[in-house]
Amino acid sequence: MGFFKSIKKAFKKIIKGVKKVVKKVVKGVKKVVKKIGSSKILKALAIAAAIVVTGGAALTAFGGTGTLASSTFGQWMMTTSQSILGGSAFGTGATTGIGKFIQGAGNFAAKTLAKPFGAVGGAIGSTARVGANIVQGKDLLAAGPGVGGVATTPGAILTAPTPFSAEAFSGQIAVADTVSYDPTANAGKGGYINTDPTTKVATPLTQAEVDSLPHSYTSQVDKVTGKSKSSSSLNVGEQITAGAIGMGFGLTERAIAGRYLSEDPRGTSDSLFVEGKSPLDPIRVYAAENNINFADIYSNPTYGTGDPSYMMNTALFSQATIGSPTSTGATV
Amino acid sequence: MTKAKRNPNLFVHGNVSEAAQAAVLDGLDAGFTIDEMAGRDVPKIRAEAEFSQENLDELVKLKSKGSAIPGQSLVNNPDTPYPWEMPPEITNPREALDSLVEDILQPEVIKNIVSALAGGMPVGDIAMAILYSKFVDGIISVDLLMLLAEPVMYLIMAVGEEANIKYNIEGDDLDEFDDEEKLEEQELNPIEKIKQETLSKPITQNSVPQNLLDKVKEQGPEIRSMLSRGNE
Repeated sequence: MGFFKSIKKAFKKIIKGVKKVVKKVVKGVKKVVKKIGSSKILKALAIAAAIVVTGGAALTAFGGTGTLASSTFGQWMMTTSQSILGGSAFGTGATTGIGKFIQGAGNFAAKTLAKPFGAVGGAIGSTARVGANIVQGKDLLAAGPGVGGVATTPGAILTAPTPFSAEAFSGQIAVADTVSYDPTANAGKGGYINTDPTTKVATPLTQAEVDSLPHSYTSQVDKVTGKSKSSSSLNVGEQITAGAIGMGFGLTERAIAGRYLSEDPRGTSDSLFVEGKSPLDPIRVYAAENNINFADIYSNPTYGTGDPSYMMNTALFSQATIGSPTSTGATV
Repeated sequence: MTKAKRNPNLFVHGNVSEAAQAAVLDGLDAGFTIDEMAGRDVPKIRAEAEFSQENLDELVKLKSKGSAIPGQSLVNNPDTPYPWEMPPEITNPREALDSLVEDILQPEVIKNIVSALAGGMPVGDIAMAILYSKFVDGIISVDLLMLLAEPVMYLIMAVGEEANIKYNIEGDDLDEFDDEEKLEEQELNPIEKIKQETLSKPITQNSVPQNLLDKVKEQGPEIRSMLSRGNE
């Protein structure tokens, strides 16, 4: 048998083995949670595995409106690093073994992983649409039907974004011009309505539709007047100028106040501060159980929330980004 | 929406399957339900392969080229080795996995993976294609190819789940999980099985043996009911 044929044969054996393990794991979980379909358990396992394999990066990459993006379980799994990442082993002082490895991993993640995932953004969230387009024989990137109607139908409330478009990347849904906020709707409590352009009949949006409205739209609605916060008698150019001037004054004010009135700047510890050796315990135990030299753990692939590679990547994808103050004072 | 009772526990495993199982069980213990972990229940798109003459012709064309003559590689010039005959670019499994994850989670690649999954291509074959190309290009060694099979397969499965596709894992096994589930249900409940089998058969005259029927005919009204008090 040739070299390549033997590789393929060995790989086939691995695939068979993986499938067997997947089945075993599904059965194992099924013993704990009764009366749940195997496909659902498989889905939960695949999500958990993706988070473990990518160190939580999948959550960011699988953005948009996908399962992973909206998964509270995924977000919860990513809290691991917040509470445990630390110890001199992860700091710059570490020169040997795992410490050295984690520095390498961290550097690698910062240099390379951040860029592609940033570029992917919510694109993978659009794959559901792409998947549907494939089987329906449509163009891969064709937009799908919206939440409240079909994209091309007049009076459509919300439309699914074109896959891999800017809207899809940000995980938002396009809003039709017919949607507005009516402070008198819903027995005076106020609510979002959709006015049919032909019949002029206003219909309140369902809760699911309201939930799907992009934040960029809802945050701009003045719930007292029902109008957009930025809308006024000024034209677009004047509004932009007024906004810019207002924001400029606001920013200057805060910068001056921050500069002269706040306390002296003090260094804040990041996630790499010395916390103790306990975070490494699981991997130490694993190395001891499997006769692996702890200093050489870098060349032994391990998976789980106690794996340093996972912790490092999780921290990267859950850390706060550099924010800039807005006119309302909130940091974006 | 459940609020987790605690932070995740720390665990380390030597393979992704065990780690994923531990993560799911940990999540369940922390108060999540499988429904919350798996997201909303939407009907899945069945991955089904469609016959394509074009693809078949391509395959025949490739196959008709023939394969290498045994020992052919030994007569190659040693100064110009193939990429896979040279030391691989990445020797560490973690770095190799990071590199692969980076490659796979690109919009164009995802599109192709989703397209392949929806077309019925098994997860194993896609993983094989990706890893094999990395090996042939001299990026990873053959050992890494084997070590990375599982995580890459899981990553592709996650893409399939995210794309809401009912995909094949190995070969044509689309309904294998469902079929096994049905079988298990039957095995777990033998009484139910017997009951169903009995109820499904209608009781006719042929259900009772002929000798019994003759006996009934002979004795007629003399036959005592099982519920009767007997001779008093």
